[in-house]
Amino acid sequence: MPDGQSRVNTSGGETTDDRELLRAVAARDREAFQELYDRHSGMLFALALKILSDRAEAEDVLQDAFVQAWKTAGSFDEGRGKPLGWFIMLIRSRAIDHLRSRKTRTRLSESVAKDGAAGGSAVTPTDEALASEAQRTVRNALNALPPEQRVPIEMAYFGGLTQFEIAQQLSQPLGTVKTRIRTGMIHLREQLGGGAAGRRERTP
Amino acid sequence: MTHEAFREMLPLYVIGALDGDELYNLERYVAENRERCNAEIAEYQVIADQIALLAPPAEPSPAVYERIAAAIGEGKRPGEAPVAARVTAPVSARPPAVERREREGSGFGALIFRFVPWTAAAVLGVLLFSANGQLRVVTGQLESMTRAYNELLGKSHAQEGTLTQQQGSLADLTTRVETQAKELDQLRVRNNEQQRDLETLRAANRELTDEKDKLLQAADQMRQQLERETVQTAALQKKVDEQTGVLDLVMDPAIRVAALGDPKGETKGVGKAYWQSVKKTGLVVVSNIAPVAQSQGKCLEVWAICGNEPPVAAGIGWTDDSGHGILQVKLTKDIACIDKFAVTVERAGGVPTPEGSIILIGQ
Repeated sequence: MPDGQSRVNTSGGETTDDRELLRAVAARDREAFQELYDRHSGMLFALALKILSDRAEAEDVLQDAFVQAWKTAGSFDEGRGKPLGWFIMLIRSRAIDHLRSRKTRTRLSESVAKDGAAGGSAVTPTDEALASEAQRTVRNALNALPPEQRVPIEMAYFGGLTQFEIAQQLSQPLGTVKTRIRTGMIHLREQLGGGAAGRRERTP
Repeated sequence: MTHEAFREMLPLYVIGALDGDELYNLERYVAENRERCNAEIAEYQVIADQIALLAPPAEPSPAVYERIAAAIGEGKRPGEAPVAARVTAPVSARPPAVERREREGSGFGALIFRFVPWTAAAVLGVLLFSANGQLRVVTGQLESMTRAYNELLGKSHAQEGTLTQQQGSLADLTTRVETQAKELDQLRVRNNEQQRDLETLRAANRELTDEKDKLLQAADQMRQQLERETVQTAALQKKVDEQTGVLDLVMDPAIRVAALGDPKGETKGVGKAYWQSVKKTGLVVVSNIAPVAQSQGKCLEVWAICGNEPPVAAGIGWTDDSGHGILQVKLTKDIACIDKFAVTVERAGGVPTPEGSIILIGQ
């Protein structure tokens, strides 16, 4: 099973391996498939669980995404990003579809908004102990944003809400929401672009 | 769309916040400018992907991989020993030395069975030698079939790859169509709600318009009534003013009064003349005479008489339907004295010298 290091990779040192593994999966290499699963299933499952707040549903999404990856590995376009980004896209789109189908987006987005008002995403001491340096870097960068920028970003990413829906739920003008998301993402890019990823590349 | 606009929308696009026309326009721009956009998308996508790290650590149960393996037709992890092989063999109750002896064998039976394999091998060798030619033919056929099978297998893999690519594209398209269908449904629901609100507002507007029309109609009726009452009030005020003038004159201590009557004594007509000689004003009140109305083209005319001088015209007037009337005395020229007042019936507008007969006279 994935260790703490491999589960937090989103790019960097193992990306080249990921690409080779995905090519091998496209050629029906089951060992490569298992290696990809062992390397990233923890992080991808955590993402699905964060979005859905339901273990059984999150496991269904993980299963569905990996089966889809097995079927369509040959269609992965290396020019458009890294394999883990592709896996994250598969997980997010399916988790958000589940979320929409059970119509609990309001509850989740309220939870995100509540987290934002409380000063950031809720993190337990256990979570903190298990978090890697890369996770802490990302969390610090996001928590450094003002709540009015961080909350709509989390509502979009983890709640699957569009800018229009966010503006409605926060009772703010659409233009204001767009500007805040854009400004927040630009700050994150300054903090993380080549930062956390670069550090991970140097991490043995 | 300009590339600047693409860059402005990119941060929202990578976290899935774009929707509607903006999403459609951006994806179309990306499709048309793939090479120019891909690097910038990938750069921001890395940032978005790192947001996923905020999820608290969690691990799926081992059963998940087993289900995945079953779904892709694997059945078990590669390299993993079969389930039967992982079952521990039961521990024997017999000592190892006994088991070893049993494996090695002993006695006459064992001797016979030790020679049986050699005999069988010798017989088989003879048979194989004789069938060697046929075996080579069969082997050749088998190799040929294996090559054909491998070629078919290669084609099958290639077709499977194409199929999986198409399945991937189809799955993405299906997801997008489903998302757009959901958005369309939401828009329809919102549109229906707004239509209902609009209908409610229209109905309320119609009711208000009806109410306003009724109020305007009532206001118009009240205005007409007010105008009628204003006219009546003005007429009454005029009459009150006249009566007040009469009363002031009658109450004047310097007033002189003359009783008037029918000189022939043929009618019951009577009258009274009031005259204030200082102010040279007065009036004649007539009663019980034949009614004289303006509509008849006639009038009553008052005459002031001094001795044997010709009568001087002193005002005109009319009676009501019962033969009562009040005539203002207005001298048309100076007169030395007034001994008598007389009343005649004349043509409308009056005449300078009397033409009709005297109906009332008094001294």
